[in-house]
Order: sequence, then C-alpha cells, then structure tokens
Amino acid sequence: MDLMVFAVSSLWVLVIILVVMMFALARQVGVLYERVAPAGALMINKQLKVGDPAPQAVVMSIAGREIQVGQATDKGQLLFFLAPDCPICKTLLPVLKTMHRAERGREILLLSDGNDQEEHRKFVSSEKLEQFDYALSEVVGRSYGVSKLPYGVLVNSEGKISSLGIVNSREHLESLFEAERMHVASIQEYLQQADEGSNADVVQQYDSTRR
Amino acid sequence: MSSIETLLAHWFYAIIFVAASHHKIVHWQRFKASVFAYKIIPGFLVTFSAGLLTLAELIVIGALIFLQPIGLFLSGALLTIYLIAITINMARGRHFIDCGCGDEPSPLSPTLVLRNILLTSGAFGAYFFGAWPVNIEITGSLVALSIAIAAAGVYMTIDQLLANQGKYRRLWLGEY
Repeated sequence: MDLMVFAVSSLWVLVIILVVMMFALARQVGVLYERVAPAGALMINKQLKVGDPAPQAVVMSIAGREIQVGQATDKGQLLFFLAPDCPICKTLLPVLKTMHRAERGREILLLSDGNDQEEHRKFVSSEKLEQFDYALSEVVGRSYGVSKLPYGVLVNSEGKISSLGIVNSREHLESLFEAERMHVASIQEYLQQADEGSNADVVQQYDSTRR
Repeated sequence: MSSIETLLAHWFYAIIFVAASHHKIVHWQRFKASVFAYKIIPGFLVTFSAGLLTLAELIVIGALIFLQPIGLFLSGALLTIYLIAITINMARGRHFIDCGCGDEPSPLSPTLVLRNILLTSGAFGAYFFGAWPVNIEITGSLVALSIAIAAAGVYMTIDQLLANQGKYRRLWLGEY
C-alpha cells in the first residue's frame, strides 16, 4: 500500500474515533448533570416561605367539584402545578399516581391555568388523571408565586406551607415530603446546614490541634 | 460544486436524518408531545402530523442514499418547516418546550435557530449548485464518506452540548 494512502486512511480512522469519543464525552456530561443535580426541589419563590399560611382559595374542578385549596385538612394537601404541554410534568404523572396510593389521606390537587377546558379534559382523560381533582386557576398560581412548571407545594394539616419548589424529577417530588419530615424548608437547606455543620467540626478540630 | 462535495452533502444529510428519525421512532410518545407543545397544529392532527414528518424523513433518507437530487431539496424543505416552527415559538416566548430534534430533550434557543439556518442553507445550496450525476471513483467516495461521518459526529456533539445546556438550566438553575 502506498505510504500516503496508508497515512491518510489511518488518520481518517483516528479522526472518526476521536469524534465518536467527543460525542460520548458530551453525552456523559449530560448524564452527570442529571446524576449530580441538586438533590431536592429547587426552592425559588419570592412570595412565600416555609411556615407561612398557605393562600386559601375555593376553585371549581373541571369535573364540576368545589375544591378548597390551601385548607387545613387531616393529612394536608400536595398542590401540583402543571400544564398539558409541559413534557417534564408528564414524566412526573406516574410518580403522582404512586404517591396518591402511598400517601393515603393526603389530598393531591392538580392545578393549571388557561381558558380551554376541553384541552385539559382531554389531557386528564389521555393521562388517566381522573383520580385527582384538577382545576384551572391563574389566581391560585399567582398567589403561590408559581413562575416555572412543574411546581409542587406541600401544605400541612394546619394549613401552613411545609415545603415548596420546582420539581423536575421523582427525587425532587419526594424531597418535598422528606423536607417536611425533617422539618427543614428544603433539602438544599438541610444539605447547607449539614455542610456548615461539618465545616464547623473541621474548624474546631483544626483549632484544637493548633492549641 | 464538484461531485465529491455533492456526494458529501448527500451522506452528511442522510446521517443526520437517520439520527433524527431514529429518535422520532424510538421515542414516539415524546415526539408527539413535542409536536403538540409547538401549538401550531390542532390537537386532533398531532399524531397524523408527527407520523407524516417521520415518514417524510424516511423518504428523504432513501432519496439521499440513492443520490437523488430531490433528497437535498426535501431536506431543505423539511428543515425550513422546523425552522419556521422553532422561530414562531421563540417569538411567542415558548422557548422552554422540547425542540423534538434529538435523543434528549433540548429547549429552543437562538443557537438552535442559527443551527437550523445553516443546515437549511447548506441543503438548498447543495441542491442548487450540486453536480449530477455524481461521477466519482471508489477512493473519492470513501473520502466523502469519512468526511460526512466526521462532520455528522461534530454536528451531533454540538446538538448534545445544546441539550446539556438545557438540562443544566432546568435541573440546576430551575429555569423553565
């Protein structure tokens, strides 16, 4: 084989291998973004904070039932803000169904906005959400300071906000319940406290060795 | 354009359409949700339109592989439809929706629009200035194929980086 042909063909093979490796690395970066993403729901809310009384409202569900949002109930309420055209919201619907079975007694309310009730009815029917109360209310969304979807708010049995935040994954949704159980505003706050705590230990240890 | 450049254009677009249609077929439900999220087609036509787009992509792949000039024209036409849909939703402020263009959800962005403009002009450019019939010997074909694979790999890497950016903004910053 001519030396030039050999050199060129080998280099082409190497170029293609390098491109494939570069693509694989880019994919891996994407996977890492997911794996090491913040553990809990992202608490971005300028209006409300944990411990505040949940804004109360009475809305009509699309099935024609009267729903009391933010009321003190035996086991509390989970308000899940979603939209039919939000792909991430759809990925969380099976998790909500599982939670509905696991968290028996806790009301799960699905809240959205818009005027096209028919579109939402079709969404409820296609995603089999009949087990939930589903209501359209822009006012409720605004009163809870919801700016991004999907958004979850956990209201405790006293009608106060236990935890809230943007929920992008099953872990985020579960973190709302974990935050409530641990009596912290969010898992981020818990991790921050834990970090500060461990730093304090390290500082203390360092100080004691210097003495 | 020379024969080798025309051949290169055919194979490059064939590879990227294979990758695009693969995602549409494998993640069919997600692709339908993306078409619906664009809010350009009425709800009852979403499944039909999604099917039509996938079928059109498969036809384009066939035409490109068999070196039919119409393949490049149809590629340009399909990319123009995507470009218009993306631009309309960007103008509406609905940049948070999944563009439906790859294996991983990727939000709409000006970079995506620029990418589609370049792809569309490339396809129409190759169609209008291409050299048919493509007369090329085997060595030339192999060189064109190698360049097409490498270029499509770079394109797919850029696509992946755009998807990563969206993932970062969604999961880490809580945007959209």
